[in-house]
Amino acid sequence: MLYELLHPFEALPASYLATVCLGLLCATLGLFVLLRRIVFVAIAVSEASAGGIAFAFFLASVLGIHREHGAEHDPWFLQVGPIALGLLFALAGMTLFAWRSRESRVPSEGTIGVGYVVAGGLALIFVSKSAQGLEELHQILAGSVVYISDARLDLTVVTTVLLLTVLALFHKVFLLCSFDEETARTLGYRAGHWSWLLHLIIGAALSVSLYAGGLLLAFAFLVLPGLTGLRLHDRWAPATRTAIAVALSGATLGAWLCWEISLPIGPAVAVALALHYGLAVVTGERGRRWLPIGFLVLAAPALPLTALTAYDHLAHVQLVRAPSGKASDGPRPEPGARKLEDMVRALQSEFPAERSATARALAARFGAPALVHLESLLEDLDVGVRRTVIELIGEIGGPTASRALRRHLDREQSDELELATAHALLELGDAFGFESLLHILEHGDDPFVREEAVSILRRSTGVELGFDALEDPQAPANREALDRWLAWWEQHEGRLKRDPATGVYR
Amino acid sequence: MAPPVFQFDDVALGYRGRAVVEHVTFTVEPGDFLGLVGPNGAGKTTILRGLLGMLRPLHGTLLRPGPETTLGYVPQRRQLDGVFPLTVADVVLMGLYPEIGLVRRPRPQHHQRVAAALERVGIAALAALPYRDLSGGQQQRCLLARALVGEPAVLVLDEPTNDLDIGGESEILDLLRTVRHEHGVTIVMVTHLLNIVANYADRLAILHEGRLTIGATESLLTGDQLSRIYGRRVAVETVDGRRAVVYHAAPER
Repeated sequence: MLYELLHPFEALPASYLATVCLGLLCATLGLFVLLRRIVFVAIAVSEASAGGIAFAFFLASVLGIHREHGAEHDPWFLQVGPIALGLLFALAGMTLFAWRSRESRVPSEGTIGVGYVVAGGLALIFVSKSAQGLEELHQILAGSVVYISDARLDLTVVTTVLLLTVLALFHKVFLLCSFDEETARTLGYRAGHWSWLLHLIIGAALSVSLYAGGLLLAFAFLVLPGLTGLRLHDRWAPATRTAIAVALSGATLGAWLCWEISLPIGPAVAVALALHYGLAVVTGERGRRWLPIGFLVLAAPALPLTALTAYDHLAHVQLVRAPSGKASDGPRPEPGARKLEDMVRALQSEFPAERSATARALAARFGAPALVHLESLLEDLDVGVRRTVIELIGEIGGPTASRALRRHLDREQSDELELATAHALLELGDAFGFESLLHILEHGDDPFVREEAVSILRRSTGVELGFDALEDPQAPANREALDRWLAWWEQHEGRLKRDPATGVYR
Repeated sequence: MAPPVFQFDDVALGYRGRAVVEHVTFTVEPGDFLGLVGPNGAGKTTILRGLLGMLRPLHGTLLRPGPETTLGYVPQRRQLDGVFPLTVADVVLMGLYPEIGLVRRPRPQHHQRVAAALERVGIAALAALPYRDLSGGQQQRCLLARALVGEPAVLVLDEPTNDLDIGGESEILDLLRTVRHEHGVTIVMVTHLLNIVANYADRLAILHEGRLTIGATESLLTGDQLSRIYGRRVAVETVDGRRAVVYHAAPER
């Protein structure tokens, strides 16, 4: 029983630890965001941060820096650039909004709206003009803390500790400047500077939260725990305590839901947090008496779980010293080796959702070494599980992944999944995917799958040789078009290379 | 003789280089109760910001008390957002933050001083209540307690009787008079209602149509003087020993 309950946290330690960190940071800051009435500013600043991340990918394209499929690490610029520029844009946005909010000639909401539209538009323009970054931008909007890398987790933990320390040290003056800036000035505080510092902290936290967990997760933590705390308390300290408890409880429940019913973690946490807030609303005055204690009880398991997952992460990055007090001199153990067996066992679960979630966790945790286990799931009877695994193998990349997908093409019965496999192969730079697309055009039963195949063909080749997917493949016009495609393939087979900047094979 | 607490010498104050009030010259002496009176939009708040050091003069010389002089400030109640989860004691404690220190927690003596300040303004029993749940008069007393808790030598109040009923008004003003007599605090009070300060301030500074007229309350508070300042017929009546300023409907020709 206990094993079943703890399994999700054991299987997804990095994502749980990141979620807890984001929860602690955003819930604490969320009280200031709510009380200063700058939720919309925070949303606009998040867009600015997304714009910065997109700009980094645009710059990388301009400078000719590309991600190599199968490479162990991204180039340095792609590791540091997006978060650095995201942070820079967020801080610039926060400074701009803090300055503009003193201008009374136009409504401050108007300025915020302009910031939101401009930043969001620029983000999409930058991404559309760069060969990469679309996935990152999608992750930022949808949230995907499950796939958090060690580097992002380290950044999240360090930022959380740093910013929470500053908040804990100076919370009195931040509160005073938020409540009554004029009096703060008469008491000798440089209220404008303190408010600006608080805005910068919020900007930095948002930027890191977006990068690590996505927009939904960041805003769920920023708004819902704070609102719950404010609804239940008339004092600052208890409201903060309850907000933190709700964030921890929501993170734990969300991570558990993510694993148990295979939900994306961002929405799962958002739903869990909304449940807490809903309880506070529904129970009204009576809830004010017992709900804070209830939330503390619900949050309690998060403490040992966080400690365990933190230990797991630290051991994983080899910061924890051996019991002798010296750093271990032996060979580095396989990361999380003791967990691999458990996860492989979970791949045999009778529940498709659990098999999918385990596959995701395996891929996120182990990357290429997990391919051998993931490939076994390509024979799963459940179409959803197979689709997940095809995507995961494509994301891991490398020659082994390519070979696994090629092997799978021979076996896959579903047109839709054959198309997904061919697409994954093409994304990996393996032109073998074209053969499969042509096979779908000739023999595919589903016109919509054929239409998608034609679309991928056109996009990936930059060539238009015709084919009406909605018509019968054996119709004379389609036969001629198919012959033209087959002739093109015969002519180019073995010589096609994918241009990483455009994704087009030439 | 002690130096003036505030000294304005041909001061111009304003925003983004544009003067809102000009040629302001007056002093506030230790122990004074100065009422700064003027209609809404006359520039009272601008002068107040100059007094508090939030605005630098565009022109002229403005001398303010040094850091050794504690200054208590009571802002307009409406400026404060009731959504903050703060009790009355929390709000009053804010007045001691400079003494407590940036990163230290308040010590028992700080809480004792908060209790004493609340006692002084007559709302000790409300210490644990949320600030937002208080009535207007009680909130004003709470803000006054916050200004007094640091034992200031100078107290600056911005429209402290706004939106209060007659009882609330007189309670606040009586309280100010007591504080001044017991502790010799210098008081500068900004208000848009002349009647409010007519019976409490020693000196008046009346701001009307960009001109600042300053003088002792006794000499300024006459029908002739006020009619000249406001450009309309104004009478000063005495009812039960208290002065009341009455404006006549028709403007003087």
